[in-house]
Amino acid sequence: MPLDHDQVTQAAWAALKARGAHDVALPTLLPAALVLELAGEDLRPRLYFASGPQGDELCLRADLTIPAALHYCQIATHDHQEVAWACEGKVFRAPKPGEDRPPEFTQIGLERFGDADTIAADVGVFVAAWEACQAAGLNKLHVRLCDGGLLPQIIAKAALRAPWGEALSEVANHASALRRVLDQACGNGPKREITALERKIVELDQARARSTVAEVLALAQFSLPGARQLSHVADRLSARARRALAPPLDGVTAQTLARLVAMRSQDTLEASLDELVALAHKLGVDLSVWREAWAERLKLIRQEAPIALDHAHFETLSPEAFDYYDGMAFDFSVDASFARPVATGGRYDTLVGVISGGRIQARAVGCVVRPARFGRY
Amino acid sequence: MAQITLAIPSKGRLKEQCEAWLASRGLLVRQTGGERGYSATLVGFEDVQIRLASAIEIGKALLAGEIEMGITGEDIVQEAASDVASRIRIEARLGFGRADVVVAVPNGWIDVETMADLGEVATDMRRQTGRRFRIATKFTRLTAQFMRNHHVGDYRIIDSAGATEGAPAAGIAEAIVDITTSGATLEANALKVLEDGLILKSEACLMRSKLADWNDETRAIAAKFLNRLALA
Repeated sequence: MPLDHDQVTQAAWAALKARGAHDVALPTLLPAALVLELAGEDLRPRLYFASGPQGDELCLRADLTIPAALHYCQIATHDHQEVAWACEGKVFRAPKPGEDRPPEFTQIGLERFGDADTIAADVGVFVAAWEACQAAGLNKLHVRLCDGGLLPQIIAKAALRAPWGEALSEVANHASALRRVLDQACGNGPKREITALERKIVELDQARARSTVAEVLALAQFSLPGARQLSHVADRLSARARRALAPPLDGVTAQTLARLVAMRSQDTLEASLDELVALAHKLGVDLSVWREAWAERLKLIRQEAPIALDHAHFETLSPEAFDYYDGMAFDFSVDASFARPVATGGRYDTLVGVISGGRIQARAVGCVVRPARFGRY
Repeated sequence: MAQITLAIPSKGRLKEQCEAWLASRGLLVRQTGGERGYSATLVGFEDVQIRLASAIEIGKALLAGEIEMGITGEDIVQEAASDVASRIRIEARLGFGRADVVVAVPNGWIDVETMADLGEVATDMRRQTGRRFRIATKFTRLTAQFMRNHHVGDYRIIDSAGATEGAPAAGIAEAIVDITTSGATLEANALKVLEDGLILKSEACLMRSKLADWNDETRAIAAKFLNRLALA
């Protein structure tokens, strides 16, 4: 007799907990400003807001990762304190226009903090998500793997000509900004005329450029309130002018970077890793350590979940990845479109530091499994 | 007798301009219950009931189909819903109550002229400070849509109920999205509008709710009313 939806959810939940995680009760009401700061304004139309008695703006949680990281910041007594939590509960997201689903639904997840062996932790979370889906009867899943730390690593180490090396490094972990600067670097971006002021200060050293901009602002009686200071404006004017005047990257470098950014494996995963190593090599970057780490991940995943990678591919930039994923990330989907993944996970080593304002640091990796997308049973 | 409801602003310059616009077409608004009353009649046009309400309430009532027709600002209805075209039809743009919804930044940001510049500054700020660029506005929906269209991602909206143009100087936000008519208030607060920062060119509009409970009689009244206004 087929299992009903609750039974399927319970089966998936039991599979996640079997990975040695402890149940944890996470906060339902969160500071709205924190959630929007971390997740971005695109989430705002999906959030449900509430006011606290002191007028503080709160929202109902829209996922389990942010509440888990927030809870960790509250209980951790030292950096990288090890915990593994199994999280289960309702999350609240308003449907998009035309979307036919309830505004609250159950998610289950596993969040690991502080593990010293990051590869073992990555594999543990991946396999836990896989086993949860298997327990729910989802046997033929498409898997998308990516690595949020790869492009920043390559661009930081590549011998790219000024000013493009610095410009690309600054945006390497922002997908849309990276594409924009890469377009400029390849000579494909919109051309712009530089102003007389820009032409002047691009020839000056940083201190003289700043004092020239200060004079211009004083003469015009313009003001600079808030967090953006004279140095930011002057340095950006100089950088923008340098980019406008600089010749684009040579064809091979531009083509190699474009292929890296758009990389989506067509062959085996190992062939994709080899291709990435070869592309990085063209830029003077040795990815052999990175490749070994990924080879180890894939080997361990196959040992624990032999069929999990049968329909897997690798992409350098995940279109849907959580902003803070800065290492391995994955999605499982019932079809190749990945429009509604049933499970998503990844490494987010900087999130705890951001939430705690630097008070606590913790390596972290986690996943969410979405029983509401399992389909009808 | 069948009637339709036309809501018009209940006070201020917009009310006066609405009444003047109707009067110029031979329709006189006569308030019932005195100056402070919230209902009125159109002299000689009894099958149109006038309701006086705030511009925001008129927008909500039109979007919900609670009234057949109303005069309010386009910015108000565009901010209130994402599917305005399926709920409201604009019968006429009235040429008053003009207000542009714009993106403005401090005039000292001489390195920022376009939305592309704003996107770069937002990314820089998040990288340098770990925090998102803040935009003060009451137009949260229009702002989010405009930023998405211009691929600006690293920002956060600070909900502003009033005096938005003072937010950068007060350190509450880096930029603002607000309405402006002449630009004088922005200039007085040392702000400038971005070259491609016009989100919406708004003015007072006569609108028809598509969701109101229309029937043959009320449709005929609306047609007669629009005909009288020389809009049919």
